[in-house]
Amino acid sequence: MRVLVVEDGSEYSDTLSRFLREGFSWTRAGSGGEALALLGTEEYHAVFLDMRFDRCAPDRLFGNLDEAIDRFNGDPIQARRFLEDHQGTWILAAIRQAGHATPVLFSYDFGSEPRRWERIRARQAPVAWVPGNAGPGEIAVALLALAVP
Amino acid sequence: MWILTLAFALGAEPLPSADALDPLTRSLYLEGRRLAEEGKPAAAVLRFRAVLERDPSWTQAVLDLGQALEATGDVAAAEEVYGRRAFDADAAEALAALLLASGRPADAAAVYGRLRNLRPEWPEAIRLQSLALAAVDPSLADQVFREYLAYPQVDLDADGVAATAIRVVEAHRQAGDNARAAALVDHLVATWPDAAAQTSLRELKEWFDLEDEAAVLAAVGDRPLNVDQVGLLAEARRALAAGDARAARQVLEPLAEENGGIALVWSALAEAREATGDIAGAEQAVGLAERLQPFEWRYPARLAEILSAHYAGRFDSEAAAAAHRAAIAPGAPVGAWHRAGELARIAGDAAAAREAWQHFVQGAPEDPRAADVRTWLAGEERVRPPPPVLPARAERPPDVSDAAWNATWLAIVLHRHANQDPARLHAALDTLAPVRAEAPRFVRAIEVEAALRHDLGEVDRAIALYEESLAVSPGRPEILWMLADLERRRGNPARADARVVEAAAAGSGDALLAQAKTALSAWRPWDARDYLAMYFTGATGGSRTEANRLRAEAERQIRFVHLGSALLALAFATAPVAWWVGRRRGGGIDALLSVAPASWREVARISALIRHEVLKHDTTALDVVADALDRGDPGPAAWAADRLCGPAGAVERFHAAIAELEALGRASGVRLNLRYRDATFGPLLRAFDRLAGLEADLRAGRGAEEVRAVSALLNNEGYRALGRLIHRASRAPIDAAVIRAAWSKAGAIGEPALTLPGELPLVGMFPADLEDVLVNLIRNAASASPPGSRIGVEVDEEEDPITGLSRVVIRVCDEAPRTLSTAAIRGRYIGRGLGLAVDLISRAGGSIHVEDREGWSKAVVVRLPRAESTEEDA
Repeated sequence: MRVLVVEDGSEYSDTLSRFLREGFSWTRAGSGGEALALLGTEEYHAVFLDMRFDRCAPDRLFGNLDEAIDRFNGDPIQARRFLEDHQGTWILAAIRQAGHATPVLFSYDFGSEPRRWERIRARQAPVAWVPGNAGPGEIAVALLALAVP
Repeated sequence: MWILTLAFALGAEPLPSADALDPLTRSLYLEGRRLAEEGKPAAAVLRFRAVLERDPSWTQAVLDLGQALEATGDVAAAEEVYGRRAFDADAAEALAALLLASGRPADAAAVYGRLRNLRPEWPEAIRLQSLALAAVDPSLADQVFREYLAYPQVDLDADGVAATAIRVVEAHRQAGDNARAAALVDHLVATWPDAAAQTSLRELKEWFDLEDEAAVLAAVGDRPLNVDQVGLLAEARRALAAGDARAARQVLEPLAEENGGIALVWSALAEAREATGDIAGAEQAVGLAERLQPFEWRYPARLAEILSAHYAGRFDSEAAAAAHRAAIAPGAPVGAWHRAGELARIAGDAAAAREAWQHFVQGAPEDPRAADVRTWLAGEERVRPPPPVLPARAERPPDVSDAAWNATWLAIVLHRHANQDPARLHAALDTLAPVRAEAPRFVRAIEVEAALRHDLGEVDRAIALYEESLAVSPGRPEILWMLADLERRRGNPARADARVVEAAAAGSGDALLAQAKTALSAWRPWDARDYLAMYFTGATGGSRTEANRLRAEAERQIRFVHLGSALLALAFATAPVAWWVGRRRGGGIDALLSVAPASWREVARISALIRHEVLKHDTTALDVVADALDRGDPGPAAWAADRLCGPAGAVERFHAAIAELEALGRASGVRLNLRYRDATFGPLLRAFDRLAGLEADLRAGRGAEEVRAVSALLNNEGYRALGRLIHRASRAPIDAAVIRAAWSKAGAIGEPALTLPGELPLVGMFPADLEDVLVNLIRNAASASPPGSRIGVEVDEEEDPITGLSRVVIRVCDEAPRTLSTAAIRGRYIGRGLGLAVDLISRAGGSIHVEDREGWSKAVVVRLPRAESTEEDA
């Protein structure tokens, strides 16, 4: 199963490629743009998507910074942090907008935000999530359940 | 079938009896055999030469002499000796194997050709000939190999067959004949669709498919860079050459995004990422470059260096594989074989290292490194597995027959010549089987079988056999020590430790030193001194130098303990009081929040940091580590020891976050005692203490149960407790009661006109802050409004389609003249109360605008993050 791991660091790709070798091949994308480029050249069975991208260069973040600045009373620092903290949702929207129906597994605890998750799921299916404390085994199960329904 | 054939060739032929010789020749021959078995090949050579002078026609002595010469390293003499029996099949087989191992495949192929005629019933000679030819003439190797495949009893899963196939395929590829390589793979895949070796062959096939894919990409998808982009690439390369990798990366990242099909760009980006510490990113980039241009040797070569340099040995095998791909790529310099050999040796793959370095010395015989490589290869050829030693003939136990005694010898010889070849090991086992049936308590035979099982990878069976031999002949220190080693490798550290104790008690020097070392590492120097005293009074084995070193260390520890005893006594006397006081002083996070409510933001930030950067990124792997330990795989545990307990690891980062919280407390005049007085951080601190204490166990490949227990404390209980704390600190209800309380606090007259939604939302804000915002907005509206005019408060909700987040919208509407505007608020042309509200709103991630509202003169509109209620709230 080919999985595209989209994260700003390398923690997930490092851990997953170490512990889940059999049956999986992992490719890392460090930003939304890189993810779209890879999705355009390779076929993946699933995307494993981190939510927070606070180590990504600002010009590589998806989302409208001007709108975000207005949302935070003209504060560009909070606006950027907002784009970083929720970057995964913009990347997901961009993937769908580019016409890719690849299943996406979020690494984010939506358990405390059920309404928000309902909205995302309704717009961007097929999607699922695993909480941040999920280990490689749980991630593997969730990926298989998502990609091979 | 092949195992049987080989067994017949190697084992079923009886050892030629020396009884037919005259007494002196027989005596010389048997002495030669004994010397050879005792590891004295030079002396054995003299005896065998004397035997052949007396009886030049005896082929067995020729073979024994050749093997003894090989053991002395005199390959040329061994070759000459085997050559004397040019038309004897056994001598020809020995000679061909010698030539092949000596890096003379053409000569080996010729001798195998002769062997085919000498031993026509043995098709294995055909396979070995094709294996030798692969290095010389791939087309001929292919032809010969297909002759071999045509034999009806050939099985792709038989030992060596798939390896030969792959060698021939690789030879085609090295010669640039991809079509013939693909044809052979297709033939094998089609002929043996159910063979286990299909996996390797399919991987090979997949590689060819990748080549096709790359060819397609090269034709239609690999647009060249335009002039500007070429300039950017050149600029990035200049920056890299000047050592400014960050600047290079800034140019290359967007360039790579725009030109995903250009291998050159990814390659340069890999270099920049590696130089800026993004190793996974570098690996990914150069891997992509290799996929885009699989025939370019530099990309797998670079990947090999990244894997070798940055992963502390965890991916040495992958590094060696990448270096091998680089070496076989067309156009690769012959030096690539040298690096492939080095990496294969580091990865512990001696066969691959030998093959790579043979390519290197053949391709670059004059290279300055070739001499060293030849020395290594020569040394490698001489390596033999340590053979089990049989007692002298005179020691034959009375209950073991002559036939069983000789068969045991034969099994030992076969084992000695097996070179880890499973077919030969099985042939030895077959030879030994009747002995084991006839004399089940014959200790030497039991141990020979144990050694064979061990070499076949059947560690459990080997352990059982060694235990069986101990049951017959107990208390042998070397066997107990060996069992300790096997148990440790099997992942049973407790049983291994018990065996070490037994071995030490039986007088094993190695075990006594190991016990002494363990005692010293646990600061039990008196125990260590006792073990060393036992060692010096006559143990067998072990290094005396090491023993002396340990004795010095034990004496040093004893001196240290004596010196510190007085201080420790004093400390013990006062410790209970200090402990009691320490546990009761200070408070938890709630104490801090009650004194300094504004610090909740920092508390939430630090808690989120621990949850996200420490637990989520690192400790969640602990369950998998425990599973691996259960399976006897210590690799993940060693990795976890570095990642969690090493420098800048999870434990260190967690304590840095705790220190930050304590500093926050001190800044507010609160002494935090999180370990003993806080329900969230106390258990976390204790769990991290246990994790730190696990480091030695993790490095030793044990402690699965404790790892699992710590994982539950951190990843389940700790993770959820932090979530609850963050959640609790950052939400406030908004309803009619809250608004009326703020109305009253603002001193407003009358009643607000309230418009509230059916489902009342929670605001993502500290409750006291929300009240301050409402009070100041209402007070501002009331002070500007003419007497008797209305003030309305409306609560609503908005959704963001991308993030899925909701915001609570609070509108405070009035009928006052419109002097306030959004620009005035942003420019801070406002009073102090409204300014405070704006600050609080901004910090909570909200916004404030002045908008039109039908029925009112204006509305001050505040948008704040909506918090969701969960089952835990209920």
